[in-house]
Amino acid sequence: MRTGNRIGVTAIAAAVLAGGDGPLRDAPVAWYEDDRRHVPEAPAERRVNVMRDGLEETLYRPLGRLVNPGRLIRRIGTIFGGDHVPRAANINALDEVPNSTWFTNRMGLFPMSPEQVARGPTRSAGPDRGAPLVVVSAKTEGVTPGFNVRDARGDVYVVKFDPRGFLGMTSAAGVITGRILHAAGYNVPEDFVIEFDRQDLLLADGVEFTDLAGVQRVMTDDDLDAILNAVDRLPDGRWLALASRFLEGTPIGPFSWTGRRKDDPNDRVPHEDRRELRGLRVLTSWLCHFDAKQGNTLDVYVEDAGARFVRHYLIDFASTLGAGAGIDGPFPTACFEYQFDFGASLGRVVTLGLREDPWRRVERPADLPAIGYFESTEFDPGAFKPLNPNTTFANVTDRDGYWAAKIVSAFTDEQLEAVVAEGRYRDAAAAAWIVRMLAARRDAVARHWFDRVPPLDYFNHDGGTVRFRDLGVERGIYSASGTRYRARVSATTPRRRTANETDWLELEATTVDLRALRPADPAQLPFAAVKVQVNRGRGWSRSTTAYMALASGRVVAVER
Amino acid sequence: MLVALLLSAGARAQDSVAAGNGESYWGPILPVADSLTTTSTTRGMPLWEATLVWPFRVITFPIVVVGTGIAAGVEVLDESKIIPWIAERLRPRPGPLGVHADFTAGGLTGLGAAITGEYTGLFGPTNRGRLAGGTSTTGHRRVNAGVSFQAGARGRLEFAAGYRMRPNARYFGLGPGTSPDDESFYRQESAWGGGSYTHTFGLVEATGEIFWSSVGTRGPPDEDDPPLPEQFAGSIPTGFGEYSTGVSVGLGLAHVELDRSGRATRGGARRARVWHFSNRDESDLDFWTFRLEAEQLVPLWYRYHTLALRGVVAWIDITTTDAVPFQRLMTNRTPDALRGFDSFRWRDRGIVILSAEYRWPIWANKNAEAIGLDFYLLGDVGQVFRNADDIGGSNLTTSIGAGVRLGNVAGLLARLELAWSEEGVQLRLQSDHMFQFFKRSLYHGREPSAHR
Repeated sequence: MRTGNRIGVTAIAAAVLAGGDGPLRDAPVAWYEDDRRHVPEAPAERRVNVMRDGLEETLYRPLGRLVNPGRLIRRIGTIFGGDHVPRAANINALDEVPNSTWFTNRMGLFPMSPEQVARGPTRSAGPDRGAPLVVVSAKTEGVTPGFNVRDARGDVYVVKFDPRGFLGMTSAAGVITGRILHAAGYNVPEDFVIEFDRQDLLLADGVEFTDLAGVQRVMTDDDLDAILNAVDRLPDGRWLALASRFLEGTPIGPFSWTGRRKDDPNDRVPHEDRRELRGLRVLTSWLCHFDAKQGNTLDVYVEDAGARFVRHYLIDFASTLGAGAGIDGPFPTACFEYQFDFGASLGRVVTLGLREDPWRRVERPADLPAIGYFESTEFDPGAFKPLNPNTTFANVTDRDGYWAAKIVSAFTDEQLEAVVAEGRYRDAAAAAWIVRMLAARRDAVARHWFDRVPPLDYFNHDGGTVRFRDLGVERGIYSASGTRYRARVSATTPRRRTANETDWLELEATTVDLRALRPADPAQLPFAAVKVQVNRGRGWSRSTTAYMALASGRVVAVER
Repeated sequence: MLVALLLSAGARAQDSVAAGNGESYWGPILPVADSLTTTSTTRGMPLWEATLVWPFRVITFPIVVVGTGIAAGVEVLDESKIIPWIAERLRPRPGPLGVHADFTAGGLTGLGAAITGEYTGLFGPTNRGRLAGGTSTTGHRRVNAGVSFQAGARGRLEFAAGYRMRPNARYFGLGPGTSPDDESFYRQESAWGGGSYTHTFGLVEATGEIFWSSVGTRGPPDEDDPPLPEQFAGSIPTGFGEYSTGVSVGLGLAHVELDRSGRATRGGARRARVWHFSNRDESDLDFWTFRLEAEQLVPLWYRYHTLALRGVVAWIDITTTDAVPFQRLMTNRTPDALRGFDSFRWRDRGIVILSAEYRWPIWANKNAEAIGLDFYLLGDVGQVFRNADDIGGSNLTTSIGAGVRLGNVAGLLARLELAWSEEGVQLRLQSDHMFQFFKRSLYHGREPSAHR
């Protein structure tokens, strides 16, 4: 189907995209969201006040969620298998997220090589060092000092240092997490760990900066030296830092975790209803990415294939993998509690302090100074909390969580080793620790969500046989022995009214034979519904239902 | 050639995955130009939900407006650098000059605030100078100044002076059996000045001090009713309407193994002190004061879970025929507080108090060592007495309560506590310690109108 037909099918696709409970249609599944339409004028730059954002996310919105009557009723409905919020608004008929300016399906849908994962969004090996890096601007305020450099290619990079006393910790974490999130499907900048000498830096003429006394003036070499002397060096006297390439396009500020950007006509779905943003909670729990605030996102007005539109990025992953980019470095409450966690505090009052908080048991590995509070023993994927409550994360349903866990569980140990190598830990034991923890936490994430939604997925229909995959067994989360499957099959109307439903039939393998299904009236019952369940020794799971068009053999919808 | 083709195919596969198309687990996903695109939109609320949510939104609209206004105000204050400016001035600063604010609410003082400045480089890196002043809505005033000098390797020489006005001090009569119905008010004004020398022998500190003090009393402001002369018309206590002036000489021994942080969790301290007071006024007053204190912090099962215990007994032994002016008698007030009772509720020649707190952290800002909130349960038992035989039985008072302490390893910032006794409930907001008496020297502003 060519571009000219795209608009024509949009209306149909909108119905298909309604996902799950819309009328069934024997039509291709939509894999692209139409959100790259030309926007002639860049939307206004959006500025976020951190203090106001913290107040609203920590106090106002949680209170609003607590007393919202619709949400209360839905919460009660979860007892009967419902969700506490409406389902995600941007899922396709297969319960997947179409590609968009927010998200590109990668690890979740495609086999990727370790090299692909490790390479992430990068198009080079980092700043071109054919000539000195030219310092074009600097900052002295903020948690850690840093500056921007232009390389020999003319690309500009933000250069950021580790907090003092934690050399290599946040820079490695920033690069590793960025690459992982890219493989997962998110838009991220190109980050690199770099090392340099003083002679590798050249101060451009007339660089203005604000000194520690608050005076704006032209920067001197002494000022640059002062910035460099304020951070730790490698044993050989060189500096180690994270270099993040400027994104192409015009930055227009962070995106919000709620609502839409009203001046972007392509932004049609409230962000708290976007599955990839809800599901990000699962990835942030895996990576202990606790600083997932608005300020660590960025919308960029870009030009691509002749159209100008807004692309949405996640940025700044220094406070991940147990590292902390703050002046005090890592801290143990990260990912366990909000900064102001009223519920946890009240719980401690009520329990008279007799219950030990899990974060108090977390310790950094004594012999690995580049490692923060990143462990797997106390890690509970369902209990993860970022630094501030997050409206979108509060909307994660089991199906959203399952979708994200499916991506997390797809990362192999080899891929993790390859991506951790990009963090350039100086101690191989530190890299091995991160790989081991990522793998253990990956499995914990997968088990947590796969226990809630059976990981029966990727249905295919071929010659009257429906094949599906048990990702739990495939990815080593559950043992194959003792795992049983059963299925029942029915003919179905486009409105999903079933007929001729068979009894449950235990399966020998993850295949279902449809050839026995002979609907009396194929015109009225043009689809087949295959309902499958799994039993891992704790009873039969809830059902996953795949719908097949009998005429084309196409899998047209999946319900969980 | 084959290798080149394979590499080329591999590169194409990588590019397509980066773009989200290719042979997926669901089957082929075509490039966007050849594929179906869709417009995601959100669906409105179902009718059942709309009928609940819209009335809710209407009802809560005023709250939302107020909340939004507050949030906008916070943003304006932050963007205009006012909040950072205030934070900059409140945070501990490196360098010799530190300034911090104290505050108090509840009790006699009412709503009060104080400022303390300390200079730690006074003629030398180990010398300090301190100036503090405070006021409150009920007319309390206080100012005190002190200097502290290193004297040799183990010695410390301190000089201090101060003034304090309490316009609404309370008097209920003398002894442990007084009635709360006899509450009356008077004005108490005190001034003092003196010096001390402390010598350290390992964990033991020996202190000698000498100071002049004067404590006067008179009727309260009109709003504090009834005044003492009216309530106790037939039995006005000794010292009312007069200034008691004299010089005290004191000696003390302390054994301190307490972590001197704001959030100590282990160790203890014991102290014995004796003073001799001789008059410098019209009276013939001469008396001794004895004071024994002990404090112990017991670390419990988890970090910063602490049992804090404190006991104090103090009494006056008169060596002359004159009675001790009532303003120099023992009374329950900070730090010898009986929480749950009014300050100055009891008064006599002796006082005995046992206090206990079970503390545990309920909030920490990112880190157990950072600023945080500790919750605590408290219990106090105590009484005043004239003779040792008075101690015990129905004379003992008890109170229980709970509170929160805001602080970090550098110090206690505030404590808010609620205590219950048979005489009611007391809510107090304070910024000083009940425990850890190492900060109760003359230099730190201790008011020695009664020897404490």
